[in-house]
Amino acid sequence: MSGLGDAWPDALRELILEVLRDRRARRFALDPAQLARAAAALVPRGAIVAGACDAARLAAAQRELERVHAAELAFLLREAASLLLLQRARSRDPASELDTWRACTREALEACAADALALDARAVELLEACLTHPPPSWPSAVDLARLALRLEPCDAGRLRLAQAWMAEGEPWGASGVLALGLSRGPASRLEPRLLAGLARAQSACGERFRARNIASLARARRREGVPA
Amino acid sequence: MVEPRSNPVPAQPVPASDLAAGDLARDQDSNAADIAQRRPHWRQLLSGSSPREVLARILPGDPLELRRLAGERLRERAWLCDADRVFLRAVARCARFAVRYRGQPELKAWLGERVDEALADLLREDLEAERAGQPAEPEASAAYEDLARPLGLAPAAMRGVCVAFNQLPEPERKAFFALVIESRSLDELARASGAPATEIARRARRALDAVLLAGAAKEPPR
Repeated sequence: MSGLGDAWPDALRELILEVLRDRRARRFALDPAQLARAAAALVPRGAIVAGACDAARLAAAQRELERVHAAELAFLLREAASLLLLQRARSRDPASELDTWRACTREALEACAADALALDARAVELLEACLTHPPPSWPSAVDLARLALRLEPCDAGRLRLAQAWMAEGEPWGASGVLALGLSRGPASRLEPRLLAGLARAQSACGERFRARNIASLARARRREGVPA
Repeated sequence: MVEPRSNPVPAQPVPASDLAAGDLARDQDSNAADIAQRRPHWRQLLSGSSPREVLARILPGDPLELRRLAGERLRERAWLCDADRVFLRAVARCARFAVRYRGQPELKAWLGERVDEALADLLREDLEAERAGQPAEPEASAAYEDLARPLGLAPAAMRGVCVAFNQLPEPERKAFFALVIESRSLDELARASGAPATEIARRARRALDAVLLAGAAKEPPR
């Protein structure tokens, strides 16, 4: 599989590929190329507003604004997943975090409506459901995180989805998501967290020897210097 | 809510409210200063019924001087990125989050934060695009050609080169920028930074190796 950083020790590279060769992880792996195609389909391409003195520049800036909106919705979906995980960990509603999230989400949806954007209907549906219902009635953290990752492929999204899979008792799900993210170079600044997450997930899968090796090689890589 | 810095969103929205008398007085003072400098007040620029409306106001002529701010940020931290893309994304972020700005922090600091967010967005998106093997967007291709020419690299390789370069530690990026792109001398850099010339050369060499490796990886087979 191409793309793994040339600076990685061969042993760590081989461990990642070993995880991906396991069909239990492979069925959860989200291919970056497929994610990119999905994200391109989900991010709307708004109409060019006529009348500007430099129409092409304005159109380019409006496309950037659409991306800002889409990334913001993805962030809010990830945060909603995080709130559910927090609730599960604390066994109570995270009240102040929830209020903040609701205020940000209302504003974001109003801004999208004011800009007359044709947004991903499923993202709007999930966010509005979370606004109007208490967390126990929300969609699952996995559903929220998975949609966020489709809307904006990124390592923060992979981490959140992996956390959601672990909370659902599905460590092979977490393994598949993280291993595929790690297998495609170049590395991001979140690489240490992805590696740590993969080690924990593999340990939970019962693959303790592989988990220890991943953790040990990840520590060595950190000592070499993570991306700035 | 805590999210890795790779996806920052500005602080939570503040409900709209009438100005207090003190705010009005401060606004009048700052308004007078801006009028004296023939610059629109931030309230005139950043108010609007939608982000799109604000965008249409702050893009033409760049009254907020975001392009200069974007250039400064790229130079300060030695990022290899198309300044125009950073500018357009920063304009979009300012338009979206203008509704939350109430005069604090000071405008330049608030604009700087939006430029930093725009940079983080684009660095992350380019990395994901490289992972997915997506072709560069047409608007970006011209800038990549400009970046490729002085480095003697193929334009098609430049996004991958930029991604690899921007992942390097900041001292290495700065050393490479100063020596290779700005053509400053080792002695001058050593004097300015206080670091030994050999260490600066080592940093620049590591950055150059990363650039050439990334460029070679993208070269079509001969």
